[in-house]
Amino acid sequence: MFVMLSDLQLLDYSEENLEWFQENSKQIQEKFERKIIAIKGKKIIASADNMNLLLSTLKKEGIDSSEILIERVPAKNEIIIL
Amino acid sequence: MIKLKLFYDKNLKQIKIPSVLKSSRNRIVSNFIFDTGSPHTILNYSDSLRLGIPHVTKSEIIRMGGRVYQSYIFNNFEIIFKSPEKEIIKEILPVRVLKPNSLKMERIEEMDRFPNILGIDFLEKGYKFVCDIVNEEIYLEKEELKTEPVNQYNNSFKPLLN
Repeated sequence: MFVMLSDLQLLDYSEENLEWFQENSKQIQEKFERKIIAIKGKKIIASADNMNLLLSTLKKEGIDSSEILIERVPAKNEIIIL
Repeated sequence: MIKLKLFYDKNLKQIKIPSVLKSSRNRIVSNFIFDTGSPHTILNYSDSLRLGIPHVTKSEIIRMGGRVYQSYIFNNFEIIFKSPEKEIIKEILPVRVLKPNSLKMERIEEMDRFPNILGIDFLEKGYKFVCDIVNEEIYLEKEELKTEPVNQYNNSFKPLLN
């Protein structure tokens, strides 16, 4: 059965996953540099070279991407200046 | 007082804020990098596609990362945050989407690298930005607008006839 999460639930999960990503970003960067990763339940559930590939992987797995935190992992020697 | 907690990534040296983004068609979880150097709030191209946002209304030319992009503005955009007290905070503001000038895969992948950016226009909504990086006390706060109850017989009312 499909249960739609409330905005508050989504934000709670998203905050937990963001905190987990930030606490572990160095180790994640070692393994997933230049990848786009999907995080759910404080775990990386999928990764890909681009967003299109990641979204199609999630779709194949039957995962609703709208409720997943997606993060871009920069390369180890890369700094993002906007 | 409305308060929004921002999260500091010590490794990537970025200040982020988790959010739920809503268009008339869809709702997604994402986060913004808070950037006082950006005059406008910018939505990542892929997130705009996930939200079904149309790229029809041309806005400014935006220079970013050494390249020039045409931006498209979308006005009916809702960003939802939560306070540490688990209150929902909704803001509606125009967002700009940078569109790749070619649909070649490498250009789209390059656009995937751009984060969502919360710019100065968000602060213009009345938020005060408090940032103490060393003590990791980083937040946005805004006075709540309190509306006075409508009272047609308040003190300022002067009857014409006594």
